[in-house]
Amino acid sequence: MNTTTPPVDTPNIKKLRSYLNFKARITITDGRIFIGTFICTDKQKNIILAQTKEFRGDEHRMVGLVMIPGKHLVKVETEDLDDDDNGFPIYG
Amino acid sequence: MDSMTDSLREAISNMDITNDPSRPGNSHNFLAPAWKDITKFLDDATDDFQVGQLIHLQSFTLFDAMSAIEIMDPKMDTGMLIEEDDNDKAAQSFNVSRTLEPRELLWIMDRLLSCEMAWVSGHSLAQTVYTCTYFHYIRELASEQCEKTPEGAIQNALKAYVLGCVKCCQHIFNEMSVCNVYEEEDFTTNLFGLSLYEQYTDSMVMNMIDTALLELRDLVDRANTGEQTQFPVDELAPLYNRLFMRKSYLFGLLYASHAQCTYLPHAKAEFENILQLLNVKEDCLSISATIGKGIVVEGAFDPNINRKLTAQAPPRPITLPSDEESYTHFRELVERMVSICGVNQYPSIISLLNYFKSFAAKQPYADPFSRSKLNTLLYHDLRVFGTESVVNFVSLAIDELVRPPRWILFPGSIRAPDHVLASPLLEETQKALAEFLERAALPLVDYFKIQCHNRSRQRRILCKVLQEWDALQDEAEVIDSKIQDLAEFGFSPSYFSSWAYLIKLEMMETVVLLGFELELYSNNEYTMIYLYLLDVLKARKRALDHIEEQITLQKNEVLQTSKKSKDRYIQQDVASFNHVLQYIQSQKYYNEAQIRMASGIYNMLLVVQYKTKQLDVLKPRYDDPPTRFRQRLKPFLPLSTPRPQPTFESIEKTIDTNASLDTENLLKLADAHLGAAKEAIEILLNMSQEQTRSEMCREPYNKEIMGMKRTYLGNKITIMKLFTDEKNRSSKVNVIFRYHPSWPVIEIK
Repeated sequence: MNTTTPPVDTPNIKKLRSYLNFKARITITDGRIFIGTFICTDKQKNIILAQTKEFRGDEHRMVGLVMIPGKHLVKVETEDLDDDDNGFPIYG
Repeated sequence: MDSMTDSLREAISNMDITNDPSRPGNSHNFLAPAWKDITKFLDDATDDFQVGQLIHLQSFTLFDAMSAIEIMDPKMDTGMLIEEDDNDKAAQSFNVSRTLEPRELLWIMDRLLSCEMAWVSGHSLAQTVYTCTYFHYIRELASEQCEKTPEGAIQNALKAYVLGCVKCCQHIFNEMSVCNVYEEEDFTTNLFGLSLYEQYTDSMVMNMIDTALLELRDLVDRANTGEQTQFPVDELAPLYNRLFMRKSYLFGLLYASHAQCTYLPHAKAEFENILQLLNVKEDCLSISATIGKGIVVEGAFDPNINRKLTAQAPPRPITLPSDEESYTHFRELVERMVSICGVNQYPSIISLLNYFKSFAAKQPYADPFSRSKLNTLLYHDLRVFGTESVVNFVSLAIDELVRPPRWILFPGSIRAPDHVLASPLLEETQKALAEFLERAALPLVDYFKIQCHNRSRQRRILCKVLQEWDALQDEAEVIDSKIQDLAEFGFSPSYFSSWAYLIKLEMMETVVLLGFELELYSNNEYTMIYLYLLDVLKARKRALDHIEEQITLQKNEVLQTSKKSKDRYIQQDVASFNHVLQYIQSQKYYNEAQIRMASGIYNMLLVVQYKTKQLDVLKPRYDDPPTRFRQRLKPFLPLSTPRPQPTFESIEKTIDTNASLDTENLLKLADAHLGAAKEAIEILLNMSQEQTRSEMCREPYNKEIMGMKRTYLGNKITIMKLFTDEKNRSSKVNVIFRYHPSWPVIEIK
């Protein structure tokens, strides 16, 4: 029987995996912004977000589970949790 | 102030405590995360992916992914700004009060029917009926007062037709909401929050239709006399015919929805009307001759309406069937309704069951509405056909098949023997029997209802209920022994357990044979399946023999005790025994035909698979033969009878032994078996419909038996070819279900 073993993660893939389950903010070609929980992505950069909100200018609405095709991506951001600059300085 | 307090104060002032959710990730908002641009990183990381690789949350499955809305896909992404095409512009600016030409109305009528048929076959309302712009302006349409002009008459006809359509949809929706068929699999009941205008009663709509019909008739008459020249007769008549048909359809649906099947004959008459109208082909003004002759009305239908309606899952892509196809579907639906409306007139329960089985098997498979309707008619208000008690139903069913002494099942009808009446066990036995009948009633009704599901679901459900019938059979054996204790028959009877066993075997046989029809088996499994099928069929043969024996014994007893009696009741008794015996005989011949067909085809398969290697067999890829065998027998393994159950090793050994014969002998065996099958089939074809209990399904029954006969012929030809010419043994063969859905012909390519 032919079984495929899963490929070993490269450091990049490992890091990308660490962004799963965190919030992502994605800007697409027509200017809309989607913010949702990063669930899944593939080689073509098709991205699935959960509990997503869509922002168009000042309006926003809940759209739920969405799939954004890679070809429409303009900017992809993830929530930055190790950045200390905006943190709460306890010791001066 | 020390620097720590300063920093604290500064930090607190910097906190933005305004709860403003519309700021998309404003990085000054402490409550929102900072964002890190990973666009370039994503490019690099995904380059590292292998083709087809993806990363995802462990809990996230393909099934979940299916319901994601695809952004920038115009059909699913309702936030997308799309280029308005001409149709959109037209739809948005469509004026429902605009007057229509007759041929434009014709187009709308036919298009609406296409939408309705697409809806009934399982597509969502948002992509079918609701695409009609008029549906969203019913109030405006209905409240229009039309002048007494030819244009006004056309408007009235439009109004009547659209409202008639709404009412028909409402009746269909009411039926489908009873949930006799599977949501999403068969039909979607989602109304998208829109109403089906229940406030317009059937009688209001009927009045509208009648008025419109009168006005159209008037226009036609005046056109014939030359008085009215605006609209010619050849444009008006098709409208009249369609509106008339719509009226019959609405009446039919209305009558068929009455409880206790009270108005079924009326419904049947209405549906027959429709068929008559559709059957007229020569007349150039008939419906059939004017399909597709309308003029398109831009904007009357908006396929993109689903973007405005909320839905839980993205819409499936849909193309509406053509006008011709829609009318064909409609005709098929109406034909089914005509057939269904006669269902409560049944000569026997076995005949009724045969009708249900043929309904289930008939191709093209029935639409969800007909199936649901048949289901509802059979059993509603906790009664069969709304009127008969289920306990009475099951008692009659048992009587028809195994014919126990009448005093057992129908104590009022005939006096029980004296020793029974005097027995202390009488009351207890009666009580136990009543409980058993209560327990058996609903599974029997379910056996009918299973036939109303889609074909794949039928097989699935049958697999599940087998164990229920196994348990019923056990309980029935207890009842049989109690009755024997009470009645002290000369032989040990097994009325109730035989009945349950026979039905269980019937179901097992159906499960195996449906595997062929539903294309579940791969051709490398066929020999194994046929061997198991033969086990089941032979168990059925033994069960039928046993029942025949019992009934014959009983009949002889009655004849003995009344040798010189011309008592009417005795003669009736004997006649009823003969009636059942005749049916058992027909079943035995059918069973024999099946056994012989299975054996013949099995031997042919041994030849082409193992001897001449003419059959290309798929190698197992994801499992091995023992696993596959266990999987196929999974529904049957927990059953207590029939025994012994085959193991993979025993099956494999049998195949090896059988395949060790030489080719000539195998072909001769196949030939002999198939010849015997043919003889049984010929006898069956000559039996009356009463004997085979096929009064309610004569045509489909004949077609099925003829299918078996043709299969026999096709296989016979192949055997001859393989016998006579060595060259034929080197070309490849196909196994094709050409004449029958579950019996194949092995054909040389």
